[in-house]
Amino acid sequence: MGRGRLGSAGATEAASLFPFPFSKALLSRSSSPFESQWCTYPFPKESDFRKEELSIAAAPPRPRRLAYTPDTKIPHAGTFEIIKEDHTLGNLLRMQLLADRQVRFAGYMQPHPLENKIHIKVQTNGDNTPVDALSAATEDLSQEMEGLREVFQEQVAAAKHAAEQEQFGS
Amino acid sequence: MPNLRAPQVEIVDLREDFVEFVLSNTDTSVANALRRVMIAEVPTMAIDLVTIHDNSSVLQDEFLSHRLGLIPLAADPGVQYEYNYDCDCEDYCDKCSAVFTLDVSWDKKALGRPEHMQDQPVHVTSADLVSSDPRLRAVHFAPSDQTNSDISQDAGIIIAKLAKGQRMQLTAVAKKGIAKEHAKWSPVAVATYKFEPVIEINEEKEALLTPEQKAEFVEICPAKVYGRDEKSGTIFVEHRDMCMWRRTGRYLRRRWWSRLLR
Repeated sequence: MGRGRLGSAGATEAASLFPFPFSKALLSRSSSPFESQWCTYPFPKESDFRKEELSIAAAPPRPRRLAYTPDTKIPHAGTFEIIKEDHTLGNLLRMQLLADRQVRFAGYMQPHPLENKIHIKVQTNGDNTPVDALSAATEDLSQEMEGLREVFQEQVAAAKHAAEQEQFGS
Repeated sequence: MPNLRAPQVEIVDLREDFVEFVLSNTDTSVANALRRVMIAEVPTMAIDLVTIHDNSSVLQDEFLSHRLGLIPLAADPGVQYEYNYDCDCEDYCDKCSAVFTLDVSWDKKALGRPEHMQDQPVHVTSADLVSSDPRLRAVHFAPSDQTNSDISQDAGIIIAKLAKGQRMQLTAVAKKGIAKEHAKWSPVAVATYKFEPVIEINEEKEALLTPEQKAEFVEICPAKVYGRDEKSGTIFVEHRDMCMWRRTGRYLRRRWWSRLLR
């Protein structure tokens, strides 16, 4: 787009003002007397907004959580950056990746304790890419968690039933 | 799915507010992830926005709102709220929040008291928080069958104490959140895990022992880990946990220490 847009809250406000009672010349970009990084003044053009932003019920777009950077020097290696995650997911994914025979290296770190992101470094043996390895690991883990949830609920129900039986019997 | 595991769960103890289970056939990282998620990532409700209309108590407004935030709130099972930042509403609404009102004045409360207690300070407690949503309320620590009855001894959590003539009137908005943001949203008091000890008895070697030696073997263990079958006389693991230092407790440590002194 090449130019700053209003934030979503401002966007809905401005969108509700369409159609303007102003002349087209005022709306055009060239006539803007002032343009900052974040907004144009006095009014942004309608084309400055994405369609979903123009709707009244526009929710702010979900920010990107995961990014992959291939390593420039080591083949079949790369770093995943996951925003808003910590040791909970980092260690879980690392251990699952290490269980994969095709993964040669897997490690995670939190670059800074005050930044809520983790880096996961993965190197594979070349049979598949780090992206494939990570997606297989997440797939396995989510299936395992699903199974764990079922088993746990089953066992809790059984334990409750046993306790009831005991109470009822005595 | 080459690395798929099938975790097993065995419930050891199950109470209304407590569960202990053995998790097996999985990795430590899974147990730790469960623990960390329980502590920091399970969403709960907590007071997040406080408007103070009147506060003549000795506590500052900021101090008071912090204390209010830390009060645990309990919702009925299955009640779901939206996250406030995901909700369509302008500020807050019934879908994403619950409004608590609190209005306590010393004058009103002390009025109904017996004469000798008239000058005593009035306690403002979590029981004084009136919820706009009947499904959400400040938590009660009395057993659930007593919470709404007259026999309950539950006095609530003390927020502040009011002296003669003081008053506290405020509106508090509870919102959904997770403990990663602030510990007040943590749903658990304790979530912890440890490794179970594995004790295997070598049956070949056991067969070589005389009954007296077996009795001595069971007796000699200071933590009383082993037991003996009355009929067959074989040794079995009776209290597996007791071989861990912390479970044996201070009593044994003292006993060993006194033995050393002697």
